[in-house]
Amino acid sequence: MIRLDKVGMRYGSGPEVLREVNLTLHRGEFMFLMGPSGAGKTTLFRVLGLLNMPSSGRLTMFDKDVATMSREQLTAQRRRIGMVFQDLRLLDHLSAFDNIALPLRINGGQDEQIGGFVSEMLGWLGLAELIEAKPPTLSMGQRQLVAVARAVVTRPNLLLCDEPTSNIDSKLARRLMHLFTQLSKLGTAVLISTHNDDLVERYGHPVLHMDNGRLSGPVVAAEKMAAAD
Amino acid sequence: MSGILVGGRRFDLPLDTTAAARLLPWIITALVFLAVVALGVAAAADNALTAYSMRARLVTVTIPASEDPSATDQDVVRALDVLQRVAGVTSATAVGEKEIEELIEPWIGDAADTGDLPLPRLIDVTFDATSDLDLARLQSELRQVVPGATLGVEAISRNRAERLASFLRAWTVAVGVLVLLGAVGLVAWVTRLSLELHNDTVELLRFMGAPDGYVARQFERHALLNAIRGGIAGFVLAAIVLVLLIWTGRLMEIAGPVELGLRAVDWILLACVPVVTALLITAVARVIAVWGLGRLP
Repeated sequence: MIRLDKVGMRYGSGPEVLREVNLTLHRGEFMFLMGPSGAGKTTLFRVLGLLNMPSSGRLTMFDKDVATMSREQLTAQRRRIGMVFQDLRLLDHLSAFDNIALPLRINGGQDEQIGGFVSEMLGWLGLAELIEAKPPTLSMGQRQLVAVARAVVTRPNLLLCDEPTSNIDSKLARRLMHLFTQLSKLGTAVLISTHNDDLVERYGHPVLHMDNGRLSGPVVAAEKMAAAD
Repeated sequence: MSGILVGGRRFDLPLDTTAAARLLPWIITALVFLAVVALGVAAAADNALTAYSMRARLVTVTIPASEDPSATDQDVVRALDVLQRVAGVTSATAVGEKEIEELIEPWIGDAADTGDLPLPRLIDVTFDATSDLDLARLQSELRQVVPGATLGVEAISRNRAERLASFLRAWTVAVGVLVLLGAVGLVAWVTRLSLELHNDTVELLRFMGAPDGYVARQFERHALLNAIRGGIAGFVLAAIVLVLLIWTGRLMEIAGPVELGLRAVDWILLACVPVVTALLITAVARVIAVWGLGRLP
């Protein structure tokens, strides 16, 4: 379980970007995160991804308080998290295969096993023929798929996606959502940041709303629509 | 699969994409070149000094002959008195007249032992080769008590060459060490710069669960690879220059009576310079990378 109790976050001595955020994510839970640009969604993802530590409050990741974790324990916990960054962060000098294989290699996977996982993933995403292609030669949509593949290839316990469907067509978006749903059914907690109301309404998962560093919700999509009416 | 395979190893971080990193092997080449040339010159100078210490233990003082033989004898006594008071001189012995006559007989024949021809007197002087004896000054002191007294010319020039060798050895060792330290400092700077420039990728690797050691190894291997490339190139170039320097030095007899040269052991030690440089550079890259990563949450 992942739990945030009154979590606050500021960069250096700057203003608070997250304010008293409370959130609980259970195993296999699927939620959307909405809110205007600059509301703090990316910072929330960075805190959940253990890239930044909370300035205040308590963050519990997989039932352990991160404040009490050693550097090695934090590294081990990060391996249980997958993230699709808004700017994708693909490594341009590596092939699509090597980009996706990267977290497996870092985790000490064997080459044969890595080859199997990655090829399967690329095939499922329809990128089998682009195995050796480097990101700069791929379309934006293809790059987005590679970034998603890299985030899910380790079958993480927590999947954080920052606008994962923003650059792909609706057919591919549905396919990705199907993938996320399957992962969720297998026990991965999924949190997707999006501005896409249609997506939220279509899948009906609970929605969190972030504004000015404060988190509200979750509400289910039907309640959200009713509130909007 | 593809990926970045350099020297059979993969690089997750695109460390060669910055201008500073691309220049690194060239700069290491230049610095290793300078260090090897400097230390090679130091070794050659040291060899010359050793050779001097083996040779420069004996000089001859010549006391000019005067019309009055007893005056010449007094000059010899005065010169011996001066020599025996000089620190570093271990012995000063006047060469007998009979011996002098035998020495010059091949040139002037029987005239040498007629007693009519005034002959200069000689004093053999031995000194401790490790002492800081200034032969030119000694000659000057002798001339104050015995006008016209001379030290063997070869001895004086040898002394000057020895000082030059000593000067070269000290300075070239200093230059060599400074250049190596420069290489290490440069790599530290490039590593720190690379950490900042590749911040996003470093963060990505750490987010995927890469321990600091994994990321640091990327910098370490990159530095090692560049150090090997630059070190080999720098050493080969320096070896060529050293061979040319020694060859021309011998032609010009800049070391006087001593032959300039490097022994096999010198070459082996010089070949260790790029190896030591590579190890230093690699260690520094790792230390800087670990230090930089340790500052991240």
